[in-house]
Amino acid sequence: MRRLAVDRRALRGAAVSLLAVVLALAVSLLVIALSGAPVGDAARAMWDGVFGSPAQFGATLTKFVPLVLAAVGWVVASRAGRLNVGLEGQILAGGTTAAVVGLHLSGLPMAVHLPLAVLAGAAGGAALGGIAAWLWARRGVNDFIATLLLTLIMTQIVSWLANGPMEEPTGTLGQSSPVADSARWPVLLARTTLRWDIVLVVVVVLAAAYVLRRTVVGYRLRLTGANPSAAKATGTRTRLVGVGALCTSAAVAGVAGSSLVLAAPAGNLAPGFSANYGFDGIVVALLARNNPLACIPAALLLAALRQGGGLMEARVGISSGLVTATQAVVILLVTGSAWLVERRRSRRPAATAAEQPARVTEGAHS
Amino acid sequence: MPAPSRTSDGAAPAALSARAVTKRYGALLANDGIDLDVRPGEILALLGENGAGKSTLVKILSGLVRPDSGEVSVGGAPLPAGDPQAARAAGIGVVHQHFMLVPDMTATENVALAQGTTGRYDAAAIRARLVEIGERHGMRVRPDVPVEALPVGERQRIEILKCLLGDARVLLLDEPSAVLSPAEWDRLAEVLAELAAAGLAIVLITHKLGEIAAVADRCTVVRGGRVVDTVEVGATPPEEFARMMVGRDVVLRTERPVVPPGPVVLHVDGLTLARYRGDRDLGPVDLRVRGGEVLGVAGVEGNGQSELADLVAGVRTPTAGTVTVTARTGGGPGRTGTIAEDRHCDGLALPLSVTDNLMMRAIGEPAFSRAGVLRPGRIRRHCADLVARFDVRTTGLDTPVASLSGGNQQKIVLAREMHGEPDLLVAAQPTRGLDVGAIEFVHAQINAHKTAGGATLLVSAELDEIFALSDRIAVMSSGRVVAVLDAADATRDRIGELMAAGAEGATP
Repeated sequence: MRRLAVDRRALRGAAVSLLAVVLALAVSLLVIALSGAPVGDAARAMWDGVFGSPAQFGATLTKFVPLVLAAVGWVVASRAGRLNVGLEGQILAGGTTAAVVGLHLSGLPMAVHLPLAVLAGAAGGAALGGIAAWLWARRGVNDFIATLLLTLIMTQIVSWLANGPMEEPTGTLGQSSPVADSARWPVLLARTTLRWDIVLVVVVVLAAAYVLRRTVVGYRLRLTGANPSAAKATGTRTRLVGVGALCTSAAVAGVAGSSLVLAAPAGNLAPGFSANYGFDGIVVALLARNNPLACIPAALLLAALRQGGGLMEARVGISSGLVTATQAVVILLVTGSAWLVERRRSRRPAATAAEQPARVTEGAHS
Repeated sequence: MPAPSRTSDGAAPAALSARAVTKRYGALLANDGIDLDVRPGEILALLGENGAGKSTLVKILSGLVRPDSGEVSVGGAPLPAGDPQAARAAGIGVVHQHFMLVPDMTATENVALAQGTTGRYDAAAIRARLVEIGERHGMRVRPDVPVEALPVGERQRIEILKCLLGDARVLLLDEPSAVLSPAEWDRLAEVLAELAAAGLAIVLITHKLGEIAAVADRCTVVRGGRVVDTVEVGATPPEEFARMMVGRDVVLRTERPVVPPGPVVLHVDGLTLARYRGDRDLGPVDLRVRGGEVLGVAGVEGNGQSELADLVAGVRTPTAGTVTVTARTGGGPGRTGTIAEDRHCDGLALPLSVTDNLMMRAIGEPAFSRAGVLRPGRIRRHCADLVARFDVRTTGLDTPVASLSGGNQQKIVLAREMHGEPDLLVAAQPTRGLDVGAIEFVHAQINAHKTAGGATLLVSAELDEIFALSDRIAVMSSGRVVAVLDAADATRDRIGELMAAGAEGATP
């Protein structure tokens, strides 16, 4: 339903995103230089951290998986006009339910157990998102606030579970036992942390892109996000769309959570296993301008920053906090430039909205 | 306030003047070298159609918009461009069409707020001045009642007083009659004459010819962003104004097709909406509209017409009563098409494409989606067909609707809502903000719908439009239908009386 005109805008968006990243990296290098550290060494450490060895690259891709999934979660909600900032909490919820299924079911073949655990993760995420969706639809609670606060609660719940009911038998480590082998993703690249859960990325991204562009549900979702009043007036059940979008978004985050348990080296539930992927996922989606396919390159970039930043810290002694700062600069530049692009584009419509000041040459304009 | 005599000669310095003001929005030249002068003690009408560039000019004069070129000066001293504070300090007061009042504050508080008071303010002094200046110019207002509880006419007087207390020497009024009943307008006209006599320069922005003859001394006519001419009102016949405004001879009444009435399509029974505005209730309303008939709903804005249209269109849920739409062939459920009053809010999704906007209602039909999956080829063919049939001027089907002109946006709404021949068309302010060509197109579509046997509920603030299209006219006042007249028996005066009877302006 969209071709040339939109594509040109998408291209401009991509260019702006790319420029933002380059500028942010340049700023980071400048900060490194100002701090007196050798810029060349730092950059090389960064590069090695990402591409230096198969293990490093595998680790980058391992970080990439939950990032993309969280980003797609954000895209689904935000295209419907809902702000699901609680992806982090839904990751925790999904990881927890996946761990429960992985721990307590046994004797199942992997072909059954693993999908079951992943689905449990989706359900867990959706359940937490569902609470926020219910609060929004029935009680008028702002979705932003509801999802965010539920994340705080979920963090405490996971901490309690890992130190209490779900703690491993010795009761000393503050985490659960590893899940059954039949519930763990098999290794994809030997001697790396990369596992087969990366196929989830392909499935989820393609599904999101297809649904948004080619289905009635996706159409109604985009319509609701673009103008809920008009959507409602023309027969779209906007509240249902909003609830559906929030729950689906949370389910995708829940799948990300399941990966963080079922594809992790330890394969267990530990406090804080969500490791900020939920919030970084929002950055990815922002960088991808809410386009599911664009989430892949954007997530690769952020995963590389995360991974490379680690080695940079170890080797050159620059705080990996710099990576966080770089991300922050990216956010500022992307949102800032989006505002610039919007402003330029909205000039004409603004005039139209005001009074259609146009030459009246007998209907030529009408 | 100095009060020069009303009979100022041409050499008197202009209170406010614009020289070669030009403003371009993208491809649209909103103001093209506009010159305008208003002298102290004079009422100047600024006449032009919707889209002629009046609002842009007002925004430039009041400093809200910075012109690309040209100059605005007050009493001979040039104003800094795009600086509303400077404009206000120089004595330019604006009464906007949509009032700039804080609803839950009193008149006194609103005036204090407008004076830019920071910290403590002397409420008693402001209240005393408000009452005094109001009495002096025949504008009585209640200073201690929250403005949301006041009738529209009184709110407008507060707006004017706000300007006067801010020492305005030039008063710009943007379409002041839009929210008034005819009686309230007469009162305002007296006040304006009085203010002019006291030495104020007044610019009355309007597209209604009758208002000019009633109050204005001179009239500047704008069309397509340019000044057509500035003329003495007394020396110019009304048809001449119309011709200058539109740029050709205007057929003031279009041919209204007469269609033998079919079966009743719209049944409205005991329709009630509690507290649609403040503590005001709508209804109970009972109406019947037949196939091949247009029922026009007239009334001063804010008397329940918009809400009635929403209820009939099914966008709002009534407190009590029913709306039933039956097929034009008699019996069976009927379909409704709606032209929303505010197309940007309820009719279109501006960031989405022409295609997306055309498919809002039909997307679920088997022709366009199967098992929930869209059929892009069919959708494109259908939309291309609609764009051609409704003469939508667009660069493509994927163009965001936001970049289309108002007329073309409205055509998209029409094309979508007329698809599948609805039995009932609810048309709320269908030509608001459109230029002449687009208005004619919309009217032709409504008449075509009627000729094909469809029923129409038309809500319009333009009496001309009501008269041009309606077979029967329902008049609303204070949330009730006070009368339903045959178009043949209805006169402008009769409708005006009915609108004012019990309207919110008359009995607060």
